[in-house]
Amino acid sequence: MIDLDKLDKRIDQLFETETSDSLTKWLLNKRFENINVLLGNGSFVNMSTQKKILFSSKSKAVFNSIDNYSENTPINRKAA
Amino acid sequence: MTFYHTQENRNEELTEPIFCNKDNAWLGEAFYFWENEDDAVFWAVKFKNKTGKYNIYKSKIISDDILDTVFNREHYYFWIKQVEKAAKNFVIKTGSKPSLKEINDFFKEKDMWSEFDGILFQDISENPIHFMVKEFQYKKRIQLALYNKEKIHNFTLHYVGEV
Repeated sequence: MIDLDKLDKRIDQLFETETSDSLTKWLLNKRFENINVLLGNGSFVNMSTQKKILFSSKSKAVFNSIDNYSENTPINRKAA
Repeated sequence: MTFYHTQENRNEELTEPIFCNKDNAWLGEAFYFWENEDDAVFWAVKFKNKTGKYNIYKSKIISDDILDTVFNREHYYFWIKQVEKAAKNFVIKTGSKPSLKEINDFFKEKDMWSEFDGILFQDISENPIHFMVKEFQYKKRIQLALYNKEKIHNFTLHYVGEV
């Protein structure tokens, strides 16, 4: 048998102790818990302070010019 | 009482219901059951249809400690009072309106809902076969959100249906 009166009072007491901060924190955690699971807990690192270069190359890319361009229809189109 | 649990058919038979923690689980994270078999089937056809087949399981739920907001007047008004109390506190203290799921999760996490094993709740079905009376949906669609797994007995596959 559920004691509704007792539970009603417990819930009243619960909200008396909950502050604006605690409720807001709970609600935000609830709404963003999936993102937190993905990102993990902790603060974000400002990437502008991480200036370690991982890959670099000073050589310039040289692309071959296309000198065998043909206006022939592709084989598959001919077949169609 | 017998209740029904709907799942997609993935060529395997469950030995226990799947715990629902989806964002749209309106009574919070729980095991969800339908009171009426036709609602279980309608839900399956509409939302558990990806494999073309669905499973309807049935189970006895044995508990005297269900908050019955559907048939028990005292429980219903208690429920309304607590939901509104919570909603009011959240709006005043956070400036944001909570969902019903958030309210239920809050009470559950704060150990308030440990006084009972689950909540019986109802809304109105969209099932067209229930509109037997012109322009009026007379039949309740009743769901049980069960928090206490130990109250589930004889969970068995009732039948496999095709969409």
